[in-house]
Amino acid sequence: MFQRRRSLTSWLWVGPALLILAGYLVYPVIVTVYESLMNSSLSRFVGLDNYIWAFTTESPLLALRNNLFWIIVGTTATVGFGLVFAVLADRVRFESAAKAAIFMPMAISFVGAGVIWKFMYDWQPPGIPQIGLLNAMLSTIGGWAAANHVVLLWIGAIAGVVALVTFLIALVRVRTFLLSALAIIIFPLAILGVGWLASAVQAVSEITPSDLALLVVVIQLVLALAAVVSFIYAMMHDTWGQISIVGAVIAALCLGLLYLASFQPVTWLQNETTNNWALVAVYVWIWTGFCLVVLSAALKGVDAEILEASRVDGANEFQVFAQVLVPMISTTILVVATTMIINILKVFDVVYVMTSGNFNTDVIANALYFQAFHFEDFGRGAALAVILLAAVVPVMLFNIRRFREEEGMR
Amino acid sequence: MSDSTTHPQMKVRPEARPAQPAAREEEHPRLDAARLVHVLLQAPLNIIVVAVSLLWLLPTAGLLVSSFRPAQAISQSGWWTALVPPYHFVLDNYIQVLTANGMGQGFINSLIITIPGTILPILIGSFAAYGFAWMNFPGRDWIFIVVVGLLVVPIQMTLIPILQLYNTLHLTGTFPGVWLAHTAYGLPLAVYLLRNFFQSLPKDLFESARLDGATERQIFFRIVIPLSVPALASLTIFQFLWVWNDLLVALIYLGGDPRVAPMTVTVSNLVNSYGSNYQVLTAAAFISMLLPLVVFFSLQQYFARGLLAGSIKG
Amino acid sequence: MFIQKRTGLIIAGLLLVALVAVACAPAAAPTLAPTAAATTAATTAATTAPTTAATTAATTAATTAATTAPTTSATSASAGAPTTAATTANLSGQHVSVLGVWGSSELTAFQKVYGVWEKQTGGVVDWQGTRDLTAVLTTRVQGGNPPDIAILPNPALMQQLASQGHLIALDSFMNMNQVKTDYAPAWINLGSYQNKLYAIFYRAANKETVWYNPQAFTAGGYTVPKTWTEWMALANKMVADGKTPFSIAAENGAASGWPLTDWMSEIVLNNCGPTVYDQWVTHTIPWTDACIKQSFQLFGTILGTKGYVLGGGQGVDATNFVNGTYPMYTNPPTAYMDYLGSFAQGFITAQYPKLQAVTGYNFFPFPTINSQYAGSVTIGADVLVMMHDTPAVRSFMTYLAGAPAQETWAKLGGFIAVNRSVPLSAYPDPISKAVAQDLYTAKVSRFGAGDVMPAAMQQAWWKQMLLFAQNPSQVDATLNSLENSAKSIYK
Repeated sequence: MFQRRRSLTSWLWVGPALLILAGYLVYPVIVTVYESLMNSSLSRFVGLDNYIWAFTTESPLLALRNNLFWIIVGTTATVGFGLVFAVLADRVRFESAAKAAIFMPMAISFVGAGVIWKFMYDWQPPGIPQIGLLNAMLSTIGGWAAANHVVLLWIGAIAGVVALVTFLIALVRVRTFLLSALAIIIFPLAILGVGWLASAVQAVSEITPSDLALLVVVIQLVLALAAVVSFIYAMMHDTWGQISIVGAVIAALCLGLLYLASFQPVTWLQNETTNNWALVAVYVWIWTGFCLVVLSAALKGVDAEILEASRVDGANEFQVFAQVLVPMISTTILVVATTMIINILKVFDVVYVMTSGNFNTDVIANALYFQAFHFEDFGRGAALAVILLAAVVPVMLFNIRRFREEEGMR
Repeated sequence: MSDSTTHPQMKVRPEARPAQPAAREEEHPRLDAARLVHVLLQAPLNIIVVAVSLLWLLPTAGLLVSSFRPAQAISQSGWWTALVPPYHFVLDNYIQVLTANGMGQGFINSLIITIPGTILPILIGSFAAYGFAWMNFPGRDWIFIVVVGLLVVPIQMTLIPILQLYNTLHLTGTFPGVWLAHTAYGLPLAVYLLRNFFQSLPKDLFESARLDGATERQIFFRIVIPLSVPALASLTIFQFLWVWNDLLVALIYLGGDPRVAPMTVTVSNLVNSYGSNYQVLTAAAFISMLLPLVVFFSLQQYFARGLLAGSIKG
Repeated sequence: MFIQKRTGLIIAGLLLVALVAVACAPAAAPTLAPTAAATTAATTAATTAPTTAATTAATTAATTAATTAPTTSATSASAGAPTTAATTANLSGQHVSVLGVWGSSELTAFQKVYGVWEKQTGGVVDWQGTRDLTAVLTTRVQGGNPPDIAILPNPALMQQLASQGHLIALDSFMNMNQVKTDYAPAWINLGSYQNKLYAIFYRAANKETVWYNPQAFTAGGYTVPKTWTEWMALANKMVADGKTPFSIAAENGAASGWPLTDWMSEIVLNNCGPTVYDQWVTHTIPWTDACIKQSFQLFGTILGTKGYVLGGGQGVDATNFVNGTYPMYTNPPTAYMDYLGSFAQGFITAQYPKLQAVTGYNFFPFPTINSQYAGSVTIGADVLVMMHDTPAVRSFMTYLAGAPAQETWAKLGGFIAVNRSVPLSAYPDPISKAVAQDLYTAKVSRFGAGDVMPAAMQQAWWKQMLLFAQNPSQVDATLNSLENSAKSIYK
């Protein structure tokens, strides 16, 4: 350990920032905590009533659940896309232009972004030309598929048969492959099992179906993904397996197109199975640029020689990424992920502008805004704000542990 | 996991490194056939990057095309239909925005708000980040974690208490009031990101500088700041565009008074109370996006690899 | 190399200091807090007792009508300047800040209106616009920095602000005789809190209007319905002809759902009459009341009958209310009737500038449901309130309340005056004239129910109506849920 400077000087360095933060953020937080214990017009002390309201009323609970969904999907997507794209863009000649494309949505004011996504998600009754790109595209593809459904059916069927036959040949030829073939049988069973277990749990507990459904979908997705990855990995090692994969992909494509043949325009922001995803997509579109720029700056600090060395050692590109690159910028990834979790925790404008919390899309910051500034219930608004503050504590504790580790190592 | 992999800072070398993969190839010349194979292998990568970029640009492209369409057409047909003849593009939306009452004043006000609103938090934030990263004082980690935790405070919750404060201090409706507010709202992120970056600088640099008798101020301005240009640049971009695009803070602390209101306020006055002429926002979005993009591109050069190593040398 | 860096930093620092210095100078001037002392205001207009004629008018109108037809004496009396204070005082350089939601052509029109006052008095109006008025106003009021004048979207907010003591009573300085000549008693009642006038209603909307395309009606052999029964028969005929009768669109961002509550308000007023309506709005009868339920069922029939509504329930929720005014005028029309307030005229003319009023597009009054309450009209209006008391604000407020100021805007279009001294000749086209005429002569008129309910109730109702649009058969569940909300909101 080298000698640290006297603490008086250090206060001079951090002092101005702390002073401003104390005035502009800490003081309002204290006021908020105080207000959260008061009634709607802040005239009477009500104890924990506002918190009891928040945790026993349907609408704030729904907002909490949606926030959880946002954090899981939003953080994974923004940080994941940002990281992968930072690495990919690092290797092409037009890096600057590619990064600008991803960054561009950040530079658009949210008012502009709202208009943009109006053009994406717009819905018109079936039979009237669609103005929204998403519905127009899917309708057009669906119309084409409907017109060619016989051809699609034949191609799909042939591809499916080829896939099945080559799959069976590969099964016989490659022994190690047996294991993953087994996996392909076990995983669907596991998925079914999870669904069955969930309905059983639901029958005896008071968990609302939608909470459980979310969990089940997440688990099932993970399982399905694992099955597909292990399957493809094994198949890649055999020519017949490779043919089988191509066949399966073609068959799936035909099936998908046939499914679209009966496509009806979707009200993306009102339909309760799509709207939360549609909102998160807008957020991801905007904020991936942030993650990309910060992570990209961190990547520039990684010495190219180390990467080259591990390549020479025979690591493939994926291994270099996962085993060398990611650990080297892990602190920055943590910082970006923390920032994103917190930002998403207080997500407001996307929801407020596009659905304002209707159709089960409410989030805490939106609920807070309505309570405090539309209904003038400052007590409830403040309580929701305090819940937001409390929700970051685990994230912060994780960060603190991380600092301690860093400290210990340097 | 070994120490060397978790500590990128240990690997910073004092020699300038060639930046691009392409440049690396030239160090190890290959046969033409091998080069061809390499290019072919690169092709999927290029295609993926281009495809993702285009996908990301698609919604914005829709906005761009729409901004040149007549207002009536926007709500009648998809924007892509404008891309096939007969073309019918007009400048109405742009003319309406550019000739709007107070747009020039709004632009100047936006600059007056944004420039200090960007420099101040980064300056103050980098001082604090340096203190948190390389100095020792009691309660440092806890104070830092509280600073980061303040990121979660929704701006809306601070408006009323701060406005009350501003009224007694006569800061309402003044630029310094808005600068300070933006500084405060930008500080937690600035401190967090910069501390992380400063922390990753090699310890040896500080030790040798201190042994040479450098003061903290000298270390900060001569070593830390030059080495952190990529981090400072990215932070500058974000802070700039957040302040530039801000409507809420300006509306509350400045009150929307035309003499001090930024462009965002002027733009919001272009839409009527029913929002039925929202089409004008298509053009407004592009006009207000120009400056942040200029800032982004002009700071791009600081993201290049090798800059870090190069500045240590010398 | 270090020297270079340092010079750069010094230059940057100097720039910063310079910017601070430059920016502080102009910024110091436009501080928003009013400076002039309110007490020194020379108020000439005293509050005199209302004449007997006015009182009788008030009592008869209070029960049956909100707005009675302007009498000849009223029109002639208002021809002059509203009060002497407005024209004589020299307010040179005094600022009045006005917070409101208007933008675009509305703002241009309002600028013309206040330009006249600025010329007359030398005062200056600072327009402060925001689409999210409630939130901005709440913040600024709580933060102790309210604007001088606010233009509120509904009377509920005005009542709340008045009860909290944030508003200045207008009868302390306005000539109440003039006010009573200009405004029907119902408007004065609505703008009063504890017998003091706090608000002037400004830009009205007549919400009895069902918009249709007369040419399409002629082509289809359809006639304008007079009663609900005729209306439903017409709708059935259209469906039988393979056409979609209704365009209903409720999407409007944070305020989504209000077109549906407007529908319900109009149905309840026409079905149950003003007494039940008032009880319902103040929650003295529950949402589950028989007549309210019956009204919901009526609307449920429209929403739920297959083929009635363009796009069905999801179309209602997913279509922006402005876009909902267009389908009648496409070729061929994709829907035939759209119920929306009189402001819809602006959307139609903006999208189809070549359409002729009356022949190309027109409206028919909401069909009669119960003949006893025929001709009942729901209305909406912006609400002017005053939050600082200075001579300039008094003068501007008095000016805005007067007929000349409202006539200026009425002539520019897109404005229905609440001030009944504004002559009908001021309206630029036959449709707005008819809309204004209907508003002044309506037998019964009431403010749209959502706008007079507490904000939380209004929001809950909007949300519930969006769900109702998709499940129009769930009348009981909808009403029970609304009743539960009401129980916790009205305390």
